[in-house]
Amino acid sequence: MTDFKMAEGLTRVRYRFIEELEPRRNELVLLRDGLTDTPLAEEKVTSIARIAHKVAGTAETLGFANLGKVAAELDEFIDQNPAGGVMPGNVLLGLLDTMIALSDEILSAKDH
Amino acid sequence: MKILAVDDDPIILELLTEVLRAADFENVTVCGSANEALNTLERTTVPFDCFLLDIQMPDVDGIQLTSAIRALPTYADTPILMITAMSDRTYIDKAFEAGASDYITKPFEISEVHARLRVFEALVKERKWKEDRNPVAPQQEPLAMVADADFQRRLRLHDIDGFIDYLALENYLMQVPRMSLLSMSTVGIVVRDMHRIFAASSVYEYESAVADVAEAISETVKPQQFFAAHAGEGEFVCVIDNGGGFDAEAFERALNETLQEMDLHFCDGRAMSLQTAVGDPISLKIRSAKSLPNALVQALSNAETTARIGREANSDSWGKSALLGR
Repeated sequence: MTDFKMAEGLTRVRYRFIEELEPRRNELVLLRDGLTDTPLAEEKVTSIARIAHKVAGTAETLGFANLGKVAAELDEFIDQNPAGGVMPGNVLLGLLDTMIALSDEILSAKDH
Repeated sequence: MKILAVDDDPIILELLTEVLRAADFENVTVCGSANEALNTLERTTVPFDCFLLDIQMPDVDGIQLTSAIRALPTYADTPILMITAMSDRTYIDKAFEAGASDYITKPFEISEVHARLRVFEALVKERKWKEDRNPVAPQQEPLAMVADADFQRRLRLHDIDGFIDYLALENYLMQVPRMSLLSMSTVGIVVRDMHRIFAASSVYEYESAVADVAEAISETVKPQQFFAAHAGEGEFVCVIDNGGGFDAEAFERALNETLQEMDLHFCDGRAMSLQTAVGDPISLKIRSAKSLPNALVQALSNAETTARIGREANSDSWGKSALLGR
């Protein structure tokens, strides 16, 4: 009974997570554009960290382990490098691109 | 068990609600911010039995919220479980310092959340059972003579720097990153003849003396990083980050000097002479996670042995030289 209740509840939250993932992914894409324009960059990096932090908190528990791991890495990278590495091709952009790509995979799977 | 969960991420709140419901914790209230949580506490008529708090939240964070909750007399002992993505030791230390009872990092295992809440549930039930059996708590009768039950009780000494509950100290050890354990030790401290000295004293005198000893321990350990707890009677246990070296004999001397300088007295004016015995430290560097809570018990056992048969005999049996890295 408990397992059934749990599975049903988790499925509901999983759907909610995917629903929320779409605007979060879109915001990440917008933030990525012009990430090198200072002084806006720092503000954008903080917003990216906020989204990554939230995704990292739930993704793995809800069955999206890869997305959760990349989001956690991105969150940790920004936390340890508060100024943000804003040059194209650096670690920050690499992690951000991977996070966007993994989000796209999840969202396209939902559409099919 | 009435639970309040606070997190600024609505998905986490939904997830927690489902996870708790699956374990039959149906009475769950959720709040999206610390301010909303504090307003809820103000309005509620039936107090909450347990809190689940995120750390990183805008405006007031989870650590500040923990301090605010602990400042409310109703919630001085209520279990607080931090559920957070912040796994750095700095956050863990700050959370326990503020009064957290336990700590889980996100992403969490559902079974882990259930297990921690079962421990809290048992604790809450035990407290309620005791309150029902003895509605007039001893602390409400400060002039009553101290009894065995008073000696056994582990006192809450949150107002003293570094002091947290014994259960929280056990949980802290389980949460500290393995790398940090390399430089940490547990140390037990026993007040000699506590039972005899306070046999004819009031609860107030006994509890004041426990708080005074805790204060002396705190002053003597500083500036080293530490957490400590009262373990009942005249026993205390510390987790000290001392880089692996700790001279129990020198610490005992310094602690006893501090106590002497405090010039303690009973209510009737008699001088109160308290002497402590400090056990040899237990290094945490080669501990498995499961055996960490035992390090507290072993530290206390070392202190009891020192109090009973003296330091040299104790050193022989526990290999003092190796423990002190000499």
